[in-house]
Amino acid sequence: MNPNSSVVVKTLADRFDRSEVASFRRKMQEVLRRDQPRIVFDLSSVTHLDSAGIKFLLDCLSTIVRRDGELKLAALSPQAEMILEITRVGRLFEVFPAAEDAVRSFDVFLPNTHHYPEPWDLFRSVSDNQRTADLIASSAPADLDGKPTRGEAAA
Amino acid sequence: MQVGAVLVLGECIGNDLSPAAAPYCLAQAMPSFFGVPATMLDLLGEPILYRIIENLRKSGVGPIFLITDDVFAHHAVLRDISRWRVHVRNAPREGLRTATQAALRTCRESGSRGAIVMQASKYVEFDVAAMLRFHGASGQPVTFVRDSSGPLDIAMIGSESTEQLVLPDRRALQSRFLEYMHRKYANRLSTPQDLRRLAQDALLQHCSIRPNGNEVRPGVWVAPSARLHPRARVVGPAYIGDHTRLRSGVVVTRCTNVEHHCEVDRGSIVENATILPHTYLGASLDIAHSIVNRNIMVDVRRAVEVEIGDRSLIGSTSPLPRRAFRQSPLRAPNLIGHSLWRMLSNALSAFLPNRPLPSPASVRFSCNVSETRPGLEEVSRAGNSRTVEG
Repeated sequence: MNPNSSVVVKTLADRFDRSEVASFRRKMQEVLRRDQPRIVFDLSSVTHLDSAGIKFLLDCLSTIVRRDGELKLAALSPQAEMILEITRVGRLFEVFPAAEDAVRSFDVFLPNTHHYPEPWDLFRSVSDNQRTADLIASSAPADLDGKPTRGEAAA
Repeated sequence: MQVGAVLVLGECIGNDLSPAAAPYCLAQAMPSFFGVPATMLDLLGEPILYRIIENLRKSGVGPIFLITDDVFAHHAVLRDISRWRVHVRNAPREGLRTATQAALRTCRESGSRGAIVMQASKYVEFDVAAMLRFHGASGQPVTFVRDSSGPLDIAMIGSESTEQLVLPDRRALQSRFLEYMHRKYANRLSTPQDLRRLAQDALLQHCSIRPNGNEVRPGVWVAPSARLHPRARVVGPAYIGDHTRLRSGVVVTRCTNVEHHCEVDRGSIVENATILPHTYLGASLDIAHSIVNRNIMVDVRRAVEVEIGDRSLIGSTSPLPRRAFRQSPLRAPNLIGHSLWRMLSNALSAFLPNRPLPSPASVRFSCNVSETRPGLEEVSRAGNSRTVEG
């Protein structure tokens, strides 16, 4: 890989679905045609990732690897992380906690940035969050009929 | 102060001591994986035992003695250990303590006033200077080492004024003593999970083990003689060993180490796994969170060991050596006696070839391939068996 070639960082939209993929693919055409492309996708704002989005990631990876380049993912949102783990696509990419780490990793190995979540841990964290939300909801001040208390009504 | 070391590759060197003192007398049962201690397995290109010796050498410890149980005397790891300038002594299981004592005597005669005695079944990174300081300040004849999880089966004996180095006896163990708290890296290697964790820690540089190979990309180490197909993908951190072959479409990812003389066939994915030497992984497999040794696979998450009979799935890239065949615990059939069975198996193993005989099909296959396109490209052509064999 050419160490002098620049790294391109692209941020994916929050809803990365079929319509978004079409426009994003057009934007990426020029970058993907380069020799030995070095690309980082920032998924920090992705809240919705469907099959078209995953297919796009795999297509990009295939194209880039064929051109002797590298594609890395960074700053996965919880939703994106869960989808990539469930579909087992995440293991095909190097994933970094921040885009800056991903950019640096092209030149130097960053051993402390690697973390591999287990799918059930992701589920557990989500269910724990849900349980916490339920607890908060159930502990909200209310009388026996479920009507809000005086203070809450006033608020 | 010059400090030597005696590593004991066996168990129960203190079995003449009281059971209550067992954790402190280097008598813990030695866990084994696939019939050998974990330290004799390869990790990132070299046996773990060599790594332990390397750490001791770097700390200035010498001379180093290795006392082994007779069972392991002919193991390949011990045959190649001479380059580490280690004095190897073999002894039967019941004579390990005597052999250790004799090694300590030789150690003293060579000028060492202190010695580290340890069971070589764990991977421990020593801070010898700190151990010596603690041992000297405590003024006790023997200092045992422990970490936050318990005793590490390591003892430091001797002092500046000592005349002879002796293993602790029952009286020494029954008195109260101070233990040195080990704060550097230690892995007990008592379970497959521990072995896997050591590989991960080495690849993520949490310990001092470094892969034997070239770092071809940040976090990806490949030994010089490894053969990777252009369409094989290695996602770092990962290690590919000597003479290992990754065929087209293979993905090696997430702290995986594939040791030497392995072969991963087309389209297989190896994730977070340790592939021990001479292992063949078939095509289109998904191996994850496992340790694979020839035809045995251990799932480290479920702690389950599975032996696979179908050699097209997983198996060996080379036949077992004759000695291993002779020593294999094959059960004698009920119809013939044990001695007759042993005689037959010995006779059969004497005629076994060291390498598998190539079948006529494979000869024709390899000739055709080398004629059409030599080098790595032959791998991609190998998939088109109709063209080749037709």
